[in-house]
Amino acid sequence: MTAASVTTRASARRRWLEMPRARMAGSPKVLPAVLGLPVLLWQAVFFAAPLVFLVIVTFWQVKAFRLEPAFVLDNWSRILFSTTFQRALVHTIAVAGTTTLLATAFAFPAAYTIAFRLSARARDLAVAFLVVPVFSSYMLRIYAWQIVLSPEGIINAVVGAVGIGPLPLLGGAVSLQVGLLTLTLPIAVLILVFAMAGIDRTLIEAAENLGCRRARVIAHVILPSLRPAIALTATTSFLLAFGDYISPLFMTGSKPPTLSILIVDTVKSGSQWPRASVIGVSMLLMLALVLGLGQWLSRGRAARKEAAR
Amino acid sequence: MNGTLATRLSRLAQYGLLGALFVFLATPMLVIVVFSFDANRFPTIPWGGFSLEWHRAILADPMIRDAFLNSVLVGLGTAALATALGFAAAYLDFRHRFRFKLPFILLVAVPPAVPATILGMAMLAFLSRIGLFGRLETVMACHVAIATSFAMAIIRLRLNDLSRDLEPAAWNLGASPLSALLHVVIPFCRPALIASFFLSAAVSFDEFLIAWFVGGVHETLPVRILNLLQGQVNPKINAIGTVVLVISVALVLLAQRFTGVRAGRRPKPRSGE
Amino acid sequence: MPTPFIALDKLDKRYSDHHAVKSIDLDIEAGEFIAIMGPSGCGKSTTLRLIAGLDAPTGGDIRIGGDSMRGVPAFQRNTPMVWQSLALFPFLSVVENVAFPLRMQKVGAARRRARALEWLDRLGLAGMAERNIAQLSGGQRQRVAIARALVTEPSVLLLDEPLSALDAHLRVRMQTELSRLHRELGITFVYVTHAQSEAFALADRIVIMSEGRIQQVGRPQDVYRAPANAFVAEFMGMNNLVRGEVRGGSGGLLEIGSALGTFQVPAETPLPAGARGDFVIAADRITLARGADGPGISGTVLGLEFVGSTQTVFIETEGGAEFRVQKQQHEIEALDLVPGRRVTLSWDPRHAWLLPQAA
Repeated sequence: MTAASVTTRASARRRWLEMPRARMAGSPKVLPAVLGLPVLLWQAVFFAAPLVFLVIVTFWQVKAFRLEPAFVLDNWSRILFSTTFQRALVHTIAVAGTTTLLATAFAFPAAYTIAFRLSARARDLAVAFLVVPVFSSYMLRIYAWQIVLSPEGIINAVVGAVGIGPLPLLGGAVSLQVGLLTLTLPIAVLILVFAMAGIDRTLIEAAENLGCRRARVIAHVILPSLRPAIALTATTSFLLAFGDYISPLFMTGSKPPTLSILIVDTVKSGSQWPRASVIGVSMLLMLALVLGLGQWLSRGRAARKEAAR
Repeated sequence: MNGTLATRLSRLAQYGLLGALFVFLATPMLVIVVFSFDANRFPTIPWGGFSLEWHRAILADPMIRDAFLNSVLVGLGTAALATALGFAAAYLDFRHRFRFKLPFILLVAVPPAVPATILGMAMLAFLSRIGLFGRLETVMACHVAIATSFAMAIIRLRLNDLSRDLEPAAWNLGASPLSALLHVVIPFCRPALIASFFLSAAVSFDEFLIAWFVGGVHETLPVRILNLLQGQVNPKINAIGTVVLVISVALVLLAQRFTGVRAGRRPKPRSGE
Repeated sequence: MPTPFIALDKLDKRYSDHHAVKSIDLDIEAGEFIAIMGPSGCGKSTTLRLIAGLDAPTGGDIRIGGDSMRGVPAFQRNTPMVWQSLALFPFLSVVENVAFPLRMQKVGAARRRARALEWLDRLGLAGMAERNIAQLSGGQRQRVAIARALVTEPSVLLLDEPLSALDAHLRVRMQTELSRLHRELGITFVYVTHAQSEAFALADRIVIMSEGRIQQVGRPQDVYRAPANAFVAEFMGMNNLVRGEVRGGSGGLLEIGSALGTFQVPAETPLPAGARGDFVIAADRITLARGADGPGISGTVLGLEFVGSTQTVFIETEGGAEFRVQKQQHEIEALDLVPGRRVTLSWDPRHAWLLPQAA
């Protein structure tokens, strides 16, 4: 070892010892807590607490137009046994069920075309075009359908010019579905496009090489691997249609009322908060049930058998 | 097999259906924009000629101006707060393991799945009891509770691409956990942060039920539209609609521009293809 | 004896699912180039992360410069590391990457840039300062990572398999570069690798680890000449093991009797007659001759296998043992080695070694 290297090695130690070293202030758990607490508090106060309170209110009473804490089951029995609620529930389930079927049925072939037929560029463009309506101006678009479908609207003006009409396009089950599909279709197609894009293409090619016709490839390769995505599409469509307020309001004029309409009417007329809350909580229970069903369906028959064993 | 009549018809049907879908989605937006420039009072055809009358009318309407200003304020506040909270939640999910993590993540993720009617009613019932009813800040706070879900999703997706070594490397080079967050994680997430800012703004700018329930006299623009829609036919609606549509579409497109989300990066092309 | 610069004292790391480092002791001198080697999962990278403070030990202590590192977070240790993944910041330019540690030390913008540029220059990256990381080649990125680690002029540099992503040619060039830097800076290098060639070319001492324990520490040539146990012998490529028994000794050599005959090995520590042990000889130390009648063990070629530029010849000896012999292609051609060929194996007794048998 040379003399020079000895001095550099000694100075290495000196440099180390001279380095200022403050001990860390606070424990390493500080940062996650600082990040997590605001989120927790915010969601607790502005999301969880209102929902919990909603459940509590279902047992309260309204006396002289004032909401008073109590524990009565009266609100539940009144709502659950009222024919208005029962009819609205059946109607809302029927409407949302129809939307779910229609949205899934239209979305599947459209998503298939986007995922498997379009070029990468065209596909990105299609996805961008589908994302826009998910986040923008649903209410306005429903209003636009009103303009298109109303008795003095665009379609009736066109068919009127050739002597037909005016057609009662607005205010029926069809116009309601037009509105709800406006809400659900973009999301339904997006979910399926993303799921299909995730399918291993070699799987499809392998099936085709084995002589599978396209229809059989869809039935035996694509559909089974899309089971969870289809269940997600269906539950999402149902969830959106079931809770929607705007389409029933503007496309059918609230007749017959859906549960959302019923909630708003109940709140508006005479501060019947507990009863509106009962409807709301019932809707949430209903949705939880549907989500559970979706989960169950998405697991597939084989997995279910496995779980049952 | 290619070129048989059946295949061609099937292809034609596929593209036809896709075209119909896009027409179905585009029609309402086009109708709003086109009729906002219509001189007629009632939006129908034939078109009454080009006019900026209704656009001018909304500028002159103080209620609409106030509502617009409210919407901008609520939207900006929501965007900033939801992005910050969404980042915090996404980062915690990415970096840390802790008890009750799943309930924590669900608490952030679930709000958009609850129908706005129910959520709005619940928020109104609860927040009015703690004295927060009828304030613009309350509208914003409620919008944040919903928009944070989207912000978290976008930012979490970006964090998936952050190499696990990058943050430890920063600590190793003398960055405290906070400095590493500021100088490494946040710069890395910047596109996602921008995207989530715009998307949160869009979510807030478009939301009307909760704003209607908890806002009281403070109307946001969509609430103003909702109130206008429930009254007489008003040609101003198309003009406001155009403004709202342009703003929210612009916000969503900006958000998309920064996420870089693509439907399925195709598997890498094999050599010789 | 001077206090070591880095001291690992009964260092222990237990994860929920496995015990990565099992109470190891190791002293590293100031200015030393030490290589920690072992197969993947042996705990070598974990040890490095523990020194850097990126993981907290579950037992024992680390002292650097005499100070306990217990409770000192990574960012206050000044133990920069060159990562296997390089971990360069993709959103920063080359010069910003190198200046990052100075920025964390709150060095002014002008000064940190100047110092970063100095280090880039020193590593042959002048003119690359403003580039994006993505625009650099693998070798250039490697240099940026090294410059970034050295810019604060630390007293220790940790390297975690830094060359494993490079091709063979670049690897040799970077070895020279690291060697030069170590000489010039005179600081401690702790280098984790699984590649024997890197460790032998660079390190003053090597540490062999397996299953969380240190198997042997020593100068590379010493470890190679005198492996401490069967694991080290095999890890060093001495995969020809014959069980035997000490018969006696003469002239610095021990006589070993075995099923294959009698061998001689150097006697560093005298063993009593009758002691059992494993006789080992490295695959590249064996001389082959054609025919079965020369001095040594005779055997039959079973087959050949390419290993890089050399071939491994598999030979079955008379006694039924299997030997591996490493030979260059031209030697194999000269001997016309094909399966079935009869050969004789011999070696210089000084290259052989006896592993004491574990009790």
